[in-house]
Amino acid sequence: MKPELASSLATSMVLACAIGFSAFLSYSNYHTDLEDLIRERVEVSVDDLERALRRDGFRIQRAQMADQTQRILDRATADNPDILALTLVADEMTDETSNSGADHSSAHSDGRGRGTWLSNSDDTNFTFLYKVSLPNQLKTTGKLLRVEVSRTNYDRKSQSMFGRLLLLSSGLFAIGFLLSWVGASLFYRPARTCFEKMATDIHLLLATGKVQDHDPTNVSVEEEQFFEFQRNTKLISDVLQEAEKLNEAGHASDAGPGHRGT
Amino acid sequence: MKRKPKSLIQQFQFRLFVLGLLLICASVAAIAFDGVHQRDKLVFEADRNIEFIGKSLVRDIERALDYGIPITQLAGVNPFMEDALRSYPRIKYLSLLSSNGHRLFSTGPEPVGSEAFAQEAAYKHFRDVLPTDVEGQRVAVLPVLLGGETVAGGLLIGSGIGLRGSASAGSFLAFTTVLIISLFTLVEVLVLVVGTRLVNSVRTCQKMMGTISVGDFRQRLGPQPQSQMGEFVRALNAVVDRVNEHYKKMQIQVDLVKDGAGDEAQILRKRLGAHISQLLNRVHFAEAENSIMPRERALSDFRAPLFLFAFVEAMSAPIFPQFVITRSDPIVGIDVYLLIGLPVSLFFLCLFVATPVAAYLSNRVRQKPILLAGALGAAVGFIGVSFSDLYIDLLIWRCISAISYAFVITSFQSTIERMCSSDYWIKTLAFSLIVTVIGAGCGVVVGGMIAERLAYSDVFLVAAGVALIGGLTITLFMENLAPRSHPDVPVPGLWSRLRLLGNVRFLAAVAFGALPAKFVLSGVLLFIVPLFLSDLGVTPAVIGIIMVFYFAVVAAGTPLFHWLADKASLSMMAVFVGALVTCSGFLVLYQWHDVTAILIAICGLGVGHAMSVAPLLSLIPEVCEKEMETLGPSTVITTYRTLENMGGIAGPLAAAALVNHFGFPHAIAVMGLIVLGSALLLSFLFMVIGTSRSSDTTTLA
Repeated sequence: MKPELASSLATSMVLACAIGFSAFLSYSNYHTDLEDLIRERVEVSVDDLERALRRDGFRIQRAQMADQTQRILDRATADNPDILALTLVADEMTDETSNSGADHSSAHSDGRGRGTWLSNSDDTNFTFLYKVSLPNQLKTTGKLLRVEVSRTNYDRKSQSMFGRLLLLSSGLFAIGFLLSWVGASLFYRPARTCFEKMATDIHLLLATGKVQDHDPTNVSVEEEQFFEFQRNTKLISDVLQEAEKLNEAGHASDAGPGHRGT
Repeated sequence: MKRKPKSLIQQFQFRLFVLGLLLICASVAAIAFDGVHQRDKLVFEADRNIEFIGKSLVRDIERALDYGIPITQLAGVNPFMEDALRSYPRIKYLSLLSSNGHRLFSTGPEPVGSEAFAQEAAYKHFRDVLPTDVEGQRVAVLPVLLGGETVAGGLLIGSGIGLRGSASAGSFLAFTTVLIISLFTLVEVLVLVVGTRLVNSVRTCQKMMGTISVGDFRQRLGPQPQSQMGEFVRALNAVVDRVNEHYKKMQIQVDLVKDGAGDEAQILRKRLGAHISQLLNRVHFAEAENSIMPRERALSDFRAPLFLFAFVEAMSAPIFPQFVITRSDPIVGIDVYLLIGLPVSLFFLCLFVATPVAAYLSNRVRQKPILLAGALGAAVGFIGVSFSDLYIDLLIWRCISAISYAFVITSFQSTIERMCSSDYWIKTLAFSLIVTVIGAGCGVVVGGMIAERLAYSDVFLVAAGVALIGGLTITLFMENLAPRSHPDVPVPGLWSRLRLLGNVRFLAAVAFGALPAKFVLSGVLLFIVPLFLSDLGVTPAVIGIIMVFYFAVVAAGTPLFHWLADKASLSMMAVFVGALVTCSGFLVLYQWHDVTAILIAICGLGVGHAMSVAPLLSLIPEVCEKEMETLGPSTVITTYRTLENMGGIAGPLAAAALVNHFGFPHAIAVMGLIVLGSALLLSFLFMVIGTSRSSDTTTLA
């Protein structure tokens, strides 16, 4: 692999990592903000619902409780288009979770917002669990509210951001790779020319036995060392000349007296 | 005045680095800018939320109005609004307005200019008024209706600029971190690539020109790829070939005239003999085949893998104890902190066991297979850890990671030994390991960020990916360095190494110097700090940023303190003061138990290690003067570095026991006292018996 190609590849590799990680950060920030906004709206609905249940719970008779609660839940669902379904699933204190038929074993709090997120939510919905305090005649009890939130808006925006970032990152990488390749070729040019010239000078030296003249100003370290080498090439030409002479003398000797006579 | 000549290769490297940096800066800035722009679009979503919250509050106010209470005489509005501010952190200001836009009740700091906005909204009967930015706050207004029709007033809501303000600050920090890490990585990668592809070739050519200049034509340069540099190498080889070719011809001529009879032949023989002997006095020709001149190498060529492996290994540091918690079920009779600390201890135990094996292999096998085995082993280990569900699986995979890490570190150590003179390599080793610290520093930040945004287990998957990239870098760019010694040359065995333990000074340096350093590194930095910070509610990304202070201080402080200690010949003093600084930093936690105190303790630990680790390593040749001659410096230093891992084994276990009894802050303080006590003992011992055997002789004399 040519040095300029290897160097531009290496630069591009680091560039790709930097672009990839930045894109990841950008996407992640956007994603978190979007999720937080949706969760905030859900929390407002849950608060509203809790207030409504508390307020109305005192006024309604036990027999009407279920119907009235369902009406309040339906109204809250209608108020917030993000919410697909609201279900009061369990009594927090007595843990009726298993009776409700829902598995909440994977519920965990991620430290963002008040609800706990059910990690086994399906692909189309987010499911959260909220603790709500409700009046039950004379005493207040804790209940778990299961909220199913639509992912449609969230997914559409996320996918759009992802696509945009993918396009932007690919474009930036392509431009970066091209520029690093062009840059490496350009920056390597003086060194390449220098090596080329040094190789030509050596070939000329071997062919003609003469050292080429050079402009002594503005030389690089590599050129300076080569000129130093050239100054010492007297030794090479001496060696070659002496060897040549000896070879000639040898040839003359091979021919013998008869040969010389002719 | 003559200008100093510049190296074309260095210019090329520098310019490419600047270009790379500009490209990275521009790309990261473009992505960051686009991210901010996209998030700005979320302001419409945020406006929806303000409206949503506002509607919820307005409904309650309207309910009160429906009971017939005039809006000016509503009671308990302020507590109601204060409660709303507490419930919705986005909302910063609430004001209930009369129908003509005058403020009746309000909570929170009033945005400057909101009054004019309220008046304008009142003019429009609070209907269809779009939210707007007023002096750093987003303000919106909603009508409060009486009986669902008549406008009785309005509710003005001022929300913080949280979505753009604080988030932008966080993003700025994150993107700046990406830039800094990219800078370090670019330096290492370019040093590796330009070094192996150009600098070393140029140096070899320069060496070749030097040998030709003094009349040595016995060596040729190795094969080079088709490039201008390759052309130059071939030209130099042509010079050598031509000269040697003539010499061979000369030899043939000599053979021809050797048997010639007669006076002429005798004269020619004499002439030839005189010429050749004169020539051979000045010039060395290749007798048969030319040998290949070995390629020049630089230590910096071997740094990149070390950087990458330190990077991947440190990625999990900010979250590892927390990750272990998720994988360990409580076992009756075993303390939970012990369960968390055990994998960290096991990591150092594996380093302790694998280092001698790796050292043995480094002397027998070429470097590339060892590094590749390290890269693959690390990747497999990380993938295993990521997918492990059981505690025992986690332990096994972690062992594989540790063994791989031992292979890489030892291989690098062996490379330094091969490339440096024996009296210089220990100092080189101490300084070269700074690259490990820089790599680890970059790793903890990236690991923390990934853990915060994805999941703990994903950090290990990314680490595996980076380890594989490291393997690819090794395959593509690194030279396959030959093993150090011939297989027939004996390498000191275990018993020879154990002889070192007979040296009291060596034993003291290990037990009271090196061991405590690793003890606090593993016990405090890798075990207590992540747990303590997490307990204080600090996020993984911030834990990574806090931990990076240790690495930054060590990387910056080690050369400085080592130079100072070396200049003043105060290595032992540096070790003691280092321990004192570490202990002082830790004792801060005895009084204060917050994030700032932890940061001070971490910086103290960094300064302490920067002051003591390298000077103590430099003391070893003096401490083991005799063993350095008999066993060799490599054996002594490898044994020293192997034994110091015992501190790493004990650290997390001791920390677990201390945390269980005293809690996080006091456990750190106690560990600081242990370090100070050890340093005091070491100083006292070296004061009494001296740092070298020659001091014994002086005392006896």
